[in-house]
Amino acid sequence: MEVCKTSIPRLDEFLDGGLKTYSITLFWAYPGIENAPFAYQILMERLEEGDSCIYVTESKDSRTVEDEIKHYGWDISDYKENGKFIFVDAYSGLINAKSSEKFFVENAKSARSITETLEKALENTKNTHTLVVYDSISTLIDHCGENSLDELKIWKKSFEENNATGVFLFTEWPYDEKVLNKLRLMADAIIQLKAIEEKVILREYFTVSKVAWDGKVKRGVGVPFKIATPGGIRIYIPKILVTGPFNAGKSSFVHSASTRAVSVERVGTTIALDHGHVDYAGFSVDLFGTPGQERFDPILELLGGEALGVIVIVDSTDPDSAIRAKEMMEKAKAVGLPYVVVANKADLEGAVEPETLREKMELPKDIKIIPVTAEDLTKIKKDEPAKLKEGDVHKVLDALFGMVV
Amino acid sequence: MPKSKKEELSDVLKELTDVGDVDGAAVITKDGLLVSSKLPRDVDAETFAAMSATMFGAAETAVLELKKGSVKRVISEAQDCKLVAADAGPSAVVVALVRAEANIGLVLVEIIKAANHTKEIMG
Repeated sequence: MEVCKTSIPRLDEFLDGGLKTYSITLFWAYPGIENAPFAYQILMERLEEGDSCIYVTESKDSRTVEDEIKHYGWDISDYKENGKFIFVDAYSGLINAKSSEKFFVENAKSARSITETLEKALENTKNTHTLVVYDSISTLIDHCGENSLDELKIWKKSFEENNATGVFLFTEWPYDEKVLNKLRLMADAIIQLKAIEEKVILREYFTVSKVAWDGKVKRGVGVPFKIATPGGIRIYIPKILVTGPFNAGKSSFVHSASTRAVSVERVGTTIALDHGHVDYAGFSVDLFGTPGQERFDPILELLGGEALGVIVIVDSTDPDSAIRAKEMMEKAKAVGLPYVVVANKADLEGAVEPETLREKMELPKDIKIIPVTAEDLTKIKKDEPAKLKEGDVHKVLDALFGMVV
Repeated sequence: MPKSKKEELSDVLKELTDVGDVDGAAVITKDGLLVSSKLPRDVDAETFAAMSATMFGAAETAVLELKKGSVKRVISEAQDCKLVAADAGPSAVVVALVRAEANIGLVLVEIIKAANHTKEIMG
């Protein structure tokens, strides 16, 4: 099966590798959720891979689309210049404005007219694989009527003949159920975008609700996402707790793992928390580090609230302190959350093996204990966070993020 | 016989708690340790010291993010009291427990005096 990768974290896996060529994939959003950024990220990926892109814009002016793409940190100007990126303007006709694009739909209220202009555009790009973005199916139904959905059958045939694949945007306004069902049947794959309010945090999710390549219909898991400007789609984990006994290296870990971190610390010890932001492997995560000294235990519950996972830092040269980690997890009300254990200072004199720590802490066999060391022992200053080895830190993040999402 | 630091701080706190409307006071280190206390008997002084330091330190970091200078005082207004934490030098904070209905302006003058004294004593 020929596929085109989307570059959206996790999505390609859920789609068995990517979008199947000649298929139509629908990004089905609930009102209030932006789906265009998904199309922008996919089209940038395809352009960079050498494909062409046809953007049928029916809900906004082509200049607005270009500005929005820039907003996410991407630029299509070069591709536009050398004909790899083409707009099909189905919007100007609706508001009786003059179009600045070469491919312009004169009778924008006629679905057939849109089809004809799209096919003309496809003639220009059929030498390479083309990604066709339709923005949006909601405006198609609104301006050309429910029966305009029948045009999709014609477009699908065109895609097969012209080596193209479709990414269509749709927002579920209160349409008739039979219109929605028709759309569900016509799409080869559907990615739903919705928001769920969990206790306090409102999160947006994408779920693959239909993947029908080769007739197999599957359903996928929901992935929480955030859109970084610039940057694009990221898998979003609002809070991971980093805790462990005093002096184990929690602040060092938060500072080493984060692109930017802030600590409330005095005299070399954390007295409130460490807060760091991680942008790694398509994930956008906030780390909350706790103090280790017992007198600050009253705030553990506050810091642990709404956490989705825990990184427990233990000093390998002080195995007796490891038992304190369990007490802290309990006080933070974090027992039961997915967690990994970091055996920090693993290369210092007196460090015990991870398995010894496992015994001391009475950890089940399936809990990962990852040894971590400092990058440069000579650069460690007393009372300041130490820089830990990037590779070790990434191993920890890979292990935990995989458990959380 | 010159007074010890402990005795001097105790005097500062006594003077502060003698002010009407101040029901208790303490000197704490910025990393949450209790140095001297004149708090009501039913208060867990050590916990109070640690959490006051957390409150003051977190406020300092929040204000730092805004780039608006340094924190002079943190005032927590509760139903039955006002908790005032005032900067008392690089290593200490003076915390005062003030009656809810007090005229905070007048009491603040006394708290700042106590904080400045503490700063001289603690260094």
